[in-house]
Amino acid sequence: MRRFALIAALAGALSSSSSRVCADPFTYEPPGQLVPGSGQGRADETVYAPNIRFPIETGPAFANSQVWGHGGDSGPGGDQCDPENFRYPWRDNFCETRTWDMPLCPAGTGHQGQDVRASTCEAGVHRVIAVTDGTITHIGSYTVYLTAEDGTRFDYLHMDHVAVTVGQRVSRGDHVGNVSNQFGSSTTTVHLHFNIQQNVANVGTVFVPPYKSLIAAYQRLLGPPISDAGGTDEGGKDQGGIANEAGVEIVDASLRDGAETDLGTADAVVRAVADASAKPLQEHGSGCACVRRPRTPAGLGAIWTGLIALSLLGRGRRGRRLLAIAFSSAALFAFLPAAPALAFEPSCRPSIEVEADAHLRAEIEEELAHRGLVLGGDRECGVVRAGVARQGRQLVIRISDAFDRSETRAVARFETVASLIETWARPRASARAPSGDRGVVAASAETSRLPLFTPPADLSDPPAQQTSIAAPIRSDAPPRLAVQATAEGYIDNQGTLWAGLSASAKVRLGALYLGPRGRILALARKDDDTMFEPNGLSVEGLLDAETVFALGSAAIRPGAGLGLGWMRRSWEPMEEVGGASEQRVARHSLGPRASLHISAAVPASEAVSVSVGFAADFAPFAGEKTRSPGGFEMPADPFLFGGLTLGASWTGL
Amino acid sequence: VARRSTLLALLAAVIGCPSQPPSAAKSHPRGLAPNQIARTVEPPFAASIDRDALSALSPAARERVAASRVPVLVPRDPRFLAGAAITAEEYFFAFSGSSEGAWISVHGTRLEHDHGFPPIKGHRTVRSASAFVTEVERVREASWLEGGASYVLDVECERRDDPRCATEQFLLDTAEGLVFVGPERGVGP
Repeated sequence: MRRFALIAALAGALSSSSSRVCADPFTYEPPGQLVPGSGQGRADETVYAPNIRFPIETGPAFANSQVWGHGGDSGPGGDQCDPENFRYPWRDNFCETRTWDMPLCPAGTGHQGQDVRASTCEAGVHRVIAVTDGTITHIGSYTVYLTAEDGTRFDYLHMDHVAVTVGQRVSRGDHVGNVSNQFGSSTTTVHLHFNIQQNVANVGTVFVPPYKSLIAAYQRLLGPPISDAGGTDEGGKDQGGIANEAGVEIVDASLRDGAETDLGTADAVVRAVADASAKPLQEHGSGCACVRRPRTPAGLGAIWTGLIALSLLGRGRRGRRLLAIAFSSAALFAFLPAAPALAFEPSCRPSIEVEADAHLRAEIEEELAHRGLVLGGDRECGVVRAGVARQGRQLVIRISDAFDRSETRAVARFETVASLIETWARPRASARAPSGDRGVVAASAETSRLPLFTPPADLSDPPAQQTSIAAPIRSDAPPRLAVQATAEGYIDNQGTLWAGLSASAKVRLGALYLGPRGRILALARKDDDTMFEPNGLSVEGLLDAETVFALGSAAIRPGAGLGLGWMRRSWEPMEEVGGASEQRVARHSLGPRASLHISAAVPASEAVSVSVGFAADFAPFAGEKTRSPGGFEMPADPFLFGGLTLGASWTGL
Repeated sequence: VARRSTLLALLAAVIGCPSQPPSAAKSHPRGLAPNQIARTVEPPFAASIDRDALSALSPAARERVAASRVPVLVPRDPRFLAGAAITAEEYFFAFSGSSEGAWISVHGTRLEHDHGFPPIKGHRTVRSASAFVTEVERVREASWLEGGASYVLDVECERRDDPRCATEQFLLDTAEGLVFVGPERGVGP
C-alpha cells in the first residue's frame, strides 16, 4: 500500500507540476542559404514588401523547407511534426530545387516562395492574416491571392477555413484562413506557402524573394512595434505615421510636431517608476517566451492514479490480473499520445501590469477587457509593464517587458493605449488563449502593490528608444546526446510487482537516438498465495533505439531495445509453514530480453524534459518451475512485464 | 493637314488591329514609393474589344472593367466568364473565374517596382511577347508585358490529373485566347 501511495503521489506530482517551455531566441540563416543539397539560393537582402504584417497571426512560426525537412520527400526521414521542423533558425527556401522556371534564381529554376510552419503541426488551427491592406483577387482550390494597392500580389497556399471572398477588401491583420495542408483534391504537409509577386522594372511580373520581408515582419510580430513605418532597413514608402502590428496609428501628428519635451518629461518619470520596480523584470528576463501549464492536473492525476491502481493492486486469480494488465496497457497506449494535448494548452500571455491613477487604470482595464486581455496573469510568462500618465491632452505611456525592452509613446485615446499594450503582450501569447479568461478583468496582487504613477514636471530626459530584437545567425542542430534516467514499475504475467531503475545514454543517428540502456529491477510485492516468500532481481543490458515525434510542445518517444538479462529468483519459506525440511530455493537464469516502450515528454528546461510512459518487456526462456526440497512447486519465472515509466532526460551537445 | 491626319488615322488603325494598346508613358504620382513607377497605359481600341466576352460577364464585373485603369484581359471561354469576379484598382485589375474544377486568374498591373535589376527577358513567347512560363505548386503560370502593362495568367486545377494542368498547353492556349473587354475610354493619370 505504501508503494502504491508513493507511485500515486509521484504521478500526481508529475501531473500537477507546471513545466516551462522556453522558445529559443529568433534566429535565421542568411538569405540564399538553403538546406545543403537542395539547390542554390538567392542571396538577396532586399525587402521587397516593406512593412507587411507577418502572415500567421501569432508566433512562434518557422520558415523552412517542406521538401527537405522531416516528413518531406527529400528530407532526413521522420514525420512532418518532428520537433526539428519547429525550431529556429529559419531557413530560406526560395529557389530550392524545382523544375519550374524562375528568372530570379541562380539556376533559372526553383521554388517560388517561402514555406512557413506555424507553432505546431496541427491543421486548421493557426490563423493566417492579411499582410497588408488590399483586395482578395482570386481564390482557387488551395490558393488565395491578396493584391495590394501597388499591384504586389501575396499568394497564400494550402489554407483551410478560408474566411474571405473574391473581391473582398481586407485590412492588414484581417483573418484570411488557417494554416493547413490543402492541395486541391490531395494534401501536402501542414504549412503556409507564401509568395510575393511583383512587376519588377526591366524584368516583368515575377516571384520575388519573400524571405527578408518575412524576417522583418516576424521581428515586428515578436517584438514591440517598429517605431517608424518605412524605416531605412526596409526602404519603401513613408506612411507618415507610427503603426503597431494591428495597424493602429499610435502617435498623433501634434506630438510629432513638437511634443518632445513633454514626452521626455513623462518618459523620465515612467522610467523612474520602472527602475524602482525593475527587479521582477530582471527575474523574468531569461528569454523564456512561452509557458505551457496543465489544464486539469487533478483530472490527469486521477486518471494516472487509477490506471496505476488497476495495474498494481489487482488481486485475485491470475486471469483477472492478466485482464488488468491488458486493460491498463491498452488504456495507457491510447492515452499517452493524447495526454500532452489534454494536459497542456498554450497560455503564454505575459502578466500585464499597469501603473496609473485609478481613473486611467479603470479606463485602460476596460479597453483591455474588450480585447480579451486581463491585468495580472502569470509572471512566469514575463511581465509587460505600462506606466501611463496624462500630459495635457495626451496620454503618455511607457511600456517595458521582461526582455528589458522599452518604448515611450504619447497617444490621444485609451483604445490606443490598450492597443499598444496588446501588441506587446500578444507576441508571447499563443494562438488559443484560455477561454475562461476572456472578458474578465482582475487586478493581480502584484499589480496592486505597484507605486502609483504621477508625472513630475522637472525632468527632461529624451524619450527612450526601443531596443531591437537580436537576430544572430547561427546553426541550431538538434542535440546529439540524450541521457535518460527512469523509475519503473512493472507487473508481470504472474501478477507480481517489480520496481527498479534504468539509465541510458544515446546518440542521435538521423532520426534515431541509439545507445545502451541498463536496468535493474527487484521484486517489490510478494504473492500472497504462495507458502514461500519470493524474492527476485533482474539485471538487463539492452541496445535501445528511440525516435521522437512532436505533439504540440510535447514529444512522443516510441522505442525498442534488444539485449541480455539475468534473473535471480529465490523463495524463502514463510514462518508459519516453515520447518526444518523447508529450505531456501534459488534459481538463476540468463536469456535474451526485448523491450517496447513509448513515453510522452515535456520540457522542464532548455535541456531537461520529464516523461511518463509505458513499457512492455519480454523475457523468453525464463527459468522453469522448481520444486522445493519439501515438494512445493515454485512457479516458473515471469516472461512478460508491463508497466509505467517515469523519467527525466537531458539532451545536449 | 487633312492628309496627314488621314495617314495617322490609318496608321493607328493598322497598329490597333492586333489589339495591342499603344506604348505607355512613365510617371511617378504622389503617394508612391521612390522605386515605384506608374505607367500610363492606353486602352484597347474599340474594335479590339470582344463584345461576346464582355456581355458574358456580370453587370458588376462589366462596371469594374469600365472603371479599370489597366486594359482588362479575360479568357474567351464563356464557361470561365459566367460568375467571374473582376477587381479594378488604381494600378491593377484582376480576373478570377472557374469552370469544372479549374480556375483561371488574370492579373494586370501598370505599376513597376524598380529594384535595380538589369534587363532579364523571358525565353518563352506568349501573345507575341517575351514571357516567363512556370509552375507554382501545380499552378501553371505565364507572365508577359503587353501594351505597357504587365500581365499574369494562372491556371489552377483541383485534381492533380486534370489534363488542363498536366501540361502547359492549356495555359498557353488560354493565354493566346485572352481577349480585351475594356475599358473603352482613355486610362492613366
